[in-house]
Amino acid sequence: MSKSAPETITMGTSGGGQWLAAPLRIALLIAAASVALWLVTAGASAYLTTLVAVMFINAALAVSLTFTNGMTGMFSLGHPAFMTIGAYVAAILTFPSRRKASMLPDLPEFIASLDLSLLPATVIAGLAGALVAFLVGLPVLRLRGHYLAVATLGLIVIVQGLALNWNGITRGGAGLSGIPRLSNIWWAFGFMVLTVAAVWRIKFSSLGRAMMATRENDLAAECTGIDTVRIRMLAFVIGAFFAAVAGALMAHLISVVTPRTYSIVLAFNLVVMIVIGGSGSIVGSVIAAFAITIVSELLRPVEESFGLYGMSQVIVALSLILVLYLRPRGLFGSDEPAFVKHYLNGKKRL
Amino acid sequence: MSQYLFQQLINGLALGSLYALVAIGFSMIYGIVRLINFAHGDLVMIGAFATLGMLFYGTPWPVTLLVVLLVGALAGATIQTVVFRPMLGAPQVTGFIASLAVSITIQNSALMLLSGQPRNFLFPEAMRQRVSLGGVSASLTDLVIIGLTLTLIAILFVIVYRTRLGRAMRATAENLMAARLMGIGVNRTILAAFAIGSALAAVAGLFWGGKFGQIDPLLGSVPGLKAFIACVIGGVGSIGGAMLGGYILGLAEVLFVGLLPQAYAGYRDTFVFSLLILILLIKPSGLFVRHVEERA
Amino acid sequence: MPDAPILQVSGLNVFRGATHVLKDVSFEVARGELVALIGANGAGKSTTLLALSGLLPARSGTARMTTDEGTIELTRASTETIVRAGLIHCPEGRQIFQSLSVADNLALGAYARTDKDWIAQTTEEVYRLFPILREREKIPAGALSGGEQMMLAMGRALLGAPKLLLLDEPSLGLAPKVIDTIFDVIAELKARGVTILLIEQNAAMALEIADRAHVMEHGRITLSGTGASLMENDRVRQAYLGVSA
Repeated sequence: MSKSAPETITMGTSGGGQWLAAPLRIALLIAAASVALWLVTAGASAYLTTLVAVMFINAALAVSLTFTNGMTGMFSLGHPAFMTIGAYVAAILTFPSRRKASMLPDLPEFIASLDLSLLPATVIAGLAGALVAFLVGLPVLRLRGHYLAVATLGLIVIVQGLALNWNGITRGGAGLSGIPRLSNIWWAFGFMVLTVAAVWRIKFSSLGRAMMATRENDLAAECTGIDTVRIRMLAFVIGAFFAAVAGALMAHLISVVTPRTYSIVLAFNLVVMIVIGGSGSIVGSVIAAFAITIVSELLRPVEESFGLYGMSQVIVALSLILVLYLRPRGLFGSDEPAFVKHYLNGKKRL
Repeated sequence: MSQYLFQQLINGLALGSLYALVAIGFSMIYGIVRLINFAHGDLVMIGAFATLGMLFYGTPWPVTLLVVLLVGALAGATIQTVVFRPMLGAPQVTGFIASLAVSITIQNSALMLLSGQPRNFLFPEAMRQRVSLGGVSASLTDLVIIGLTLTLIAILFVIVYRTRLGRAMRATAENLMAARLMGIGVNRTILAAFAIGSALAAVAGLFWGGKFGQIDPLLGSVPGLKAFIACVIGGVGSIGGAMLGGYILGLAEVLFVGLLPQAYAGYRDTFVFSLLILILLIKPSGLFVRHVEERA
Repeated sequence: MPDAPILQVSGLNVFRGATHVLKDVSFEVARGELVALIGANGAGKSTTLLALSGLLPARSGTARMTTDEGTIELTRASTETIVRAGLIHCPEGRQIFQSLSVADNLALGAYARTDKDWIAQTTEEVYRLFPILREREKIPAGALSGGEQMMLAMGRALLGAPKLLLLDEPSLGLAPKVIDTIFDVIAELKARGVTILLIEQNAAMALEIADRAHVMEHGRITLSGTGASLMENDRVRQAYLGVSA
């Protein structure tokens, strides 16, 4: 996850190398990564900068999906639905109010008169996603296994349908374009760091352990007093929050959102990322997200020159089948690589 | 009966026939290996394009029908052997993700080979007439679809309930271990179920093209998801239930669009999926299953 | 080779997951014999049968079945082949096909047999042995009582033309009168020359009817002998026959 780490810290040695307190080490890591990023952006083209930003957002999405799915063992494909919600909510909030009046006639007056900056808009978008997740989750999270998967797929279709048809608020099939480019690579980076930090903290806390217990064996977990219903809901809602924020940031990065932008295919690609990285592994998800984003992008000119649109998607899909066949636990299973744990967590735990 | 209502009825039954064919195949696969096969819908697309190819060469209809059945069976058998068979012991969700991967592979491969351009697909002139039945008229295409579907389903019922293979399939679906102890070659039996189910889906593709007039490589997602919904409505794992569910879904969709004001027509899919989630919550084993037996 | 034992198990080791369940198990079953395996729950009796019918893989060891048609190595053959060769395994809990009719269940028993006349004749025989099945012919098997299901399972096994019949806990969950009927049928089968390997928790009935028997404890055979001699054995009497010292 870090592009470089200070050479002076010895990693992998138990106990002895901890000459800085954990929070300081983390700050050091982030500072180093920021410096590296700044160096990269200084010389890079707009295209590359946007690509890296998208890569960061994908990583955050993958991490939040591994949090919802990998750690509790539920199978939600709903992330794109929450992204759509987040994107639309944020975009509607940041649009200058006079545009809102003309473009989105059915918008209630108090919203139409609002003119928010990115941060509050994103937070509200996130909360909107979380709220929908809560309401949907109440009934739907009772389902298990592939039934839950299909229900969440249905959610994507339902949200798409609403976005497509509720013309007065969403401009229907045309979507929202000309969204102010308020977010950039630094927003994406910050979001990714935030997501990773949050999920990491939760994973190595008692809540995280409770989640893993739920995943291993529902019944046994209940017997030890863990409220599996509450845990699954928490995982679902928190995951939705991050997904909605991701959608909001993405919309303000590429300046457009349509009902079909965040689709079943995206859900699939996110699943591929967490399967390859290891369902439940944060570092694995990040690495896999980086890899898949880059590879897909590298393959695009090949697709175009041969007229083989869809090739990169096929490669991603075939990679998944291969991984499921040969190494179903992915890169790191549900664990994190040892040296990262040592570095970030301090004394040997878990 | 008014012309409009009768027309909608026939329309709904024709659409229902399409859904029933796909749902039955889907149900056969789910019944025998407990797999939600997301790629099943794409067999419809394969069947549709296979038909297109043969129409291009002016193949006579009975031959086309047979070839489409064979193409579907072969495609289904290949997918099962290459992707699903190695995953037989894996958790439910693994198979589902794999089937998603297969679907995406098929769709994008078709996109690469055929381009995303929708192709026109018209049944010959003779099929596009209307038939009068004592005061009301119906599209011949629709009637042929309904008739052929019911015939195919009848043949399937004979296979499943009156032949050795059918018995083996039902046994394997119910209790894999006991089936093996009967000396049933379960791998072959599972393959047969996949092949037959896929053949039916491919034929649905032939009908789909005729009914909607246009086909494209991505057309599989819709029938795929709707097949699942039909199965849930009618009773998961039951062939009769899948058929019933397919017809109910077809009629419900047509009625929804037909009876509600035009402005809401676009919400059709939203309605259908909300219905799905509702049923999954209330009676996941299906609306028409009398009681779910608890196996000791 | 009419004198060769029909079953020769040698050094069989079977694991279930990481657990070593069968440890170096060796025994033989001669033609026409009824051999009983008795022992407590979890001793490995069912696992033995599952390994013989090919449902569980063996880590090491051999299990050879010899019939008039030849010899097959059970640990390396598919269940399909094993069943066709004449090894019929009637598993624990009957495992009949609940949603299929009685007639369908019986027909499935004969799945591997090709002689239609023989199938028709044997089906008639099964109905004669168990008249209640004829009455319930078209009824889904799940609706039958426990005893009737056991009869169905045995009828189904008969239709497999067993040269070697593996019976796993036939008396489980049945009323005493039904158990008597079942064991009468088992005796009748033995009289007809079917070789039987029987697992029973009801050690008394098993030992009474067995030619030879083995006691299994913790995955090993610890005691062997004729049915009669084991019935006299003190340890067996205390542990399995409920007789106090």
